[in-house]
Amino acid sequence: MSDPKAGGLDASVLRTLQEFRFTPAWVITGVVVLLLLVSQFAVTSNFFTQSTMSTLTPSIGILILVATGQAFVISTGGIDLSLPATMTLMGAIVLKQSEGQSDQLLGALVFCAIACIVIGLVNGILVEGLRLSSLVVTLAVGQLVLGYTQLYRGNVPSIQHVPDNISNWASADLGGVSYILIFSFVLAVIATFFLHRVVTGRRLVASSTAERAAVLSGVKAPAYRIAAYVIASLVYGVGGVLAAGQIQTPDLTLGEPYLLTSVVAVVLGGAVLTGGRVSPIATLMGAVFITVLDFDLRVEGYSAGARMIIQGAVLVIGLSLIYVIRNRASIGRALRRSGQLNPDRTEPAK
Amino acid sequence: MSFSGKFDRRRGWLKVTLLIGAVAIFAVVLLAGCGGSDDTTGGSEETAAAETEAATTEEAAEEGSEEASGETTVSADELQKTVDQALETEEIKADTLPPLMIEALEMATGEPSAEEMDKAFECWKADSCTLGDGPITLALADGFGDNTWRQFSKMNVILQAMKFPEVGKFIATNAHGELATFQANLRSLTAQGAEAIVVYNDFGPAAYPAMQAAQREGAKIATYVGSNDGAPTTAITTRVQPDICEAGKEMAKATEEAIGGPGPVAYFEGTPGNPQDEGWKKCATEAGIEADFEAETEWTPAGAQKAATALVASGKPAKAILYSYSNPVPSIVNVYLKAGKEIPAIITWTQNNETTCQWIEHPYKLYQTNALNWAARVAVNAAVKATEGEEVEDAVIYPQPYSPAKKSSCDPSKPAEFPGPSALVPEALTEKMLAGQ
Repeated sequence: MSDPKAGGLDASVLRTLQEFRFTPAWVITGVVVLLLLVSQFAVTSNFFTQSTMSTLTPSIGILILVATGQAFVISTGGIDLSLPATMTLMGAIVLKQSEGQSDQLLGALVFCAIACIVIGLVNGILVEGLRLSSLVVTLAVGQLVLGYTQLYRGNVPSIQHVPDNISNWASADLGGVSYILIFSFVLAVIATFFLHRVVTGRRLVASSTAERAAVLSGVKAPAYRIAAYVIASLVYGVGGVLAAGQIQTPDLTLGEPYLLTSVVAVVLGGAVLTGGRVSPIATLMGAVFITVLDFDLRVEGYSAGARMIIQGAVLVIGLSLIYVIRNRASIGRALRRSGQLNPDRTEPAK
Repeated sequence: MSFSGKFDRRRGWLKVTLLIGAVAIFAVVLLAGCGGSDDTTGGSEETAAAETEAATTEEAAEEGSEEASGETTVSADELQKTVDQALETEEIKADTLPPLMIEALEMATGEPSAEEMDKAFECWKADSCTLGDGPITLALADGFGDNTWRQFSKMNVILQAMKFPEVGKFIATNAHGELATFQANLRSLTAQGAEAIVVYNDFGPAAYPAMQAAQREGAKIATYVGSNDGAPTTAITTRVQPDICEAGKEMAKATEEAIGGPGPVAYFEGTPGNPQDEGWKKCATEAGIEADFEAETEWTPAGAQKAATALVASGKPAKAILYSYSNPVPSIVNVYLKAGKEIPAIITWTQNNETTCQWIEHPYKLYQTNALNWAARVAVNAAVKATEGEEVEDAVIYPQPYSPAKKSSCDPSKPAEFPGPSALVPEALTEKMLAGQ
C-alpha cells in the first residue's frame, strides 16, 4: 500500500508501475535488450562495431519488412506462403525490366508494384471471397508465381546484376546502421500509427479481430481483409527489391530464407495464428530477436543442426511465455482454485 | 543381185575395216612414241589420285566407324590445347588423364559447324529434341537446373551427344532441387525409353534408390561433378567426379601458396553435412590446414553473406576462406568491403565471371578451379558407351587443380554467372545462349 502523503512524483511512478501490464510486446522488447547485451558481452565484443552493424542490420531490416507484411495476413487469421515466390519475382523483375540500368529502375519498380497488387488480390479474393484455406491458396499462388518467375527470368538471364542505384542504396548506412533497417523501422512505426490512429487502419483491425461485429457495424470487412493481403504483398515486394539490391545478383533462391522466419517473428511478437490484433513494433522486435539469435549462434560456430535445436527451443519457450502472459489471470485463478480444493495435495500419501 | 556380187562387196568392207584398224594402230603407236613419258606420268598421277581417293574414302570410312563408336582422332597438340582450356592450367599433360576423359575431350576438340550450333541451341531451349537418327535416347536428369552453371552443363551434354551418331532423341528434365520431382523425372525418363542418362545428383545417397530403379529398367546412368563416393554400380554405372580428398589436399596446397602458411582459415560449405564438403574439409585439415571457423552457406549469395558477416563479427583472424562454390564469392567480398576489413585469400571450386571481375576491381588472393562443365561431356561418353554394352570404368576421377585467378577470365560483357571459357561452349553459341534468341 502506497503512502498517501508521499510526494506527487513518487506516487505517479508508483501508480504507473502498478498499472503496468506485461504485454507480449514488452516481454519481447525486454528479451531483445537482453539478447543484445549477451551478444556484446558474451558472444563477440565486436557486436556493436560499425563493421558488424553495417553487415547485420540490412538482414534485420529485410526480415522486419516481410514480417510486417506477414503480420497483416496473420491478423486476419490467415498465413501467406506466397511470400518467398513474391520476393524472388521482384528480384527477376528488377533485373529484367531495368536491364541493369539505373535510369530504368523506376519502370521496374512500377512493374513490381503491379505484380504485387495482382498477387495480393488473387490471394485475398480466393481466401476471403471464396472462403478457401489461406494455407492452400497462398501455397498454390506461390507455386504459380515461382513457375512464372522461372519462365520470365529465362534459363540464362543476360542481365544478372541489379542497377547500381538500388545496390548502392541497399548497401548504404548511417553510422553503420543500414538504410534498410532505418526504413523498415520507420515503416513499422507508420504501420502502428495507421492501425491505431487512422480510421481506415482501425477498420482494418476491426475487420481482422472481429469480422462479424465489424460487418454489423457497417464496415466492409471482406474488402478490408482482402486489402490486408494486398498490403502484405506490396510490403514483400519492397523487401524483395531491397534484398535484391543488397545481394546484387539475385537468383531463384532470393526469398527462400524469409518464409518461416517471418512467421516466427510475428508469433514472437505476440500474435496468434488464429487471427487478432498484431503489433508492428512487437513484430519488429521479433525479427530483431530471430536474426540476432541466428547471428550469435553462427558466430559461436554452431552447426545448422544445433542452431535449429536452439532456435526451436527458444521458440517453444517464447510461445509458452506469451501464453502464460496472455492468460496469467485465468492461470492464477485455476491455481488458486486447485489449492483450495486440495489444500494438502503436496503431502505424501499415507 | 548375185551371191558373188554380194561376196565382192563384203570383201570391200573387210578391206576398209582392216585399213581403218591399221591406221588406228599406227596412230596409237605414233602418239605413244611422241608422248610416252607424259602419258606414263599422267597414268601414275591418275593411279596415285585414285589411290589417294581410295585411301581418303577408307579413312573417311574408318573415321565414320570410329565416330560411330564415339571416338575421333585429333592431334596431340590439339588435344593438349583443349585440356589446357578445360582445366585452366598448362601443367597437366593430356596423356596422364583417365582414358574416358581423354576420349571425351578429343571429341570436344574443334568448333562445331554453324548448323550444328543452331541445332544444339534449339535443343537447349526445347528440352526435348531429335539430335540424330540413332536408336539411343539420351537424357539429362538435373537435380537443380535453374542456374547458369547447370545450363552450360546442359549445353555440354547436347554438344557431346551430337558427336554420337547412335544418339537419336534427347530429353532434359529439371527437378528444381526437389528430391520427389527428381525421382518422378527418372521414372518418366525410363518410361520414355531413355537408355543413357546423365545425372547431376544434388541429393546424395537419397537419390540412389531412384537411380537403381532406373538402371533396373535398363538405363545406364553416369553422374558428373557432384561427389557420389561409395555409390553402388547398381545405382550409378560411372561417376565422373574429382577425388574429393585429393581436392582437399590441393586446396591446402593453394592455401599455403596464397597465405604462406597453414592458417588460420575459415571453411565455408554449402548445405549442412553434405558429403562433398565434409570430404575436402577433412583432407585439407589432415594436410595441415588450421581452420578456426566453419559456416554453412546453402551455396546461395544470402547464405554466403550471413556466413561472412558472422566470420567478420567473430573477430577470428581468418587469413583465407576455403569454399566449394565460386558464384556466391562476391557476396563474401562485399561483406569485407562494407566492413572495411582486408579481404582474405579465397580458394574456391568452380569459376564465375562476377567473382573474377570483382577481383580485378578489388584485388585479393583468389584461387579457383576451372568451370568443370566439361565433366558432363565425359558422363555422356560413359553413359552412351555403357548403353552400347561396352565396358566403362565405375569412376572417372579427374584432377582438380587450383590456379590463381586470371584477368583474362573476366568478360564484363557477359553476365555475372558466366562460367568462363573453360566451360567449353563455343563463343558464338555462348552469345546465343546469353541473348536467349
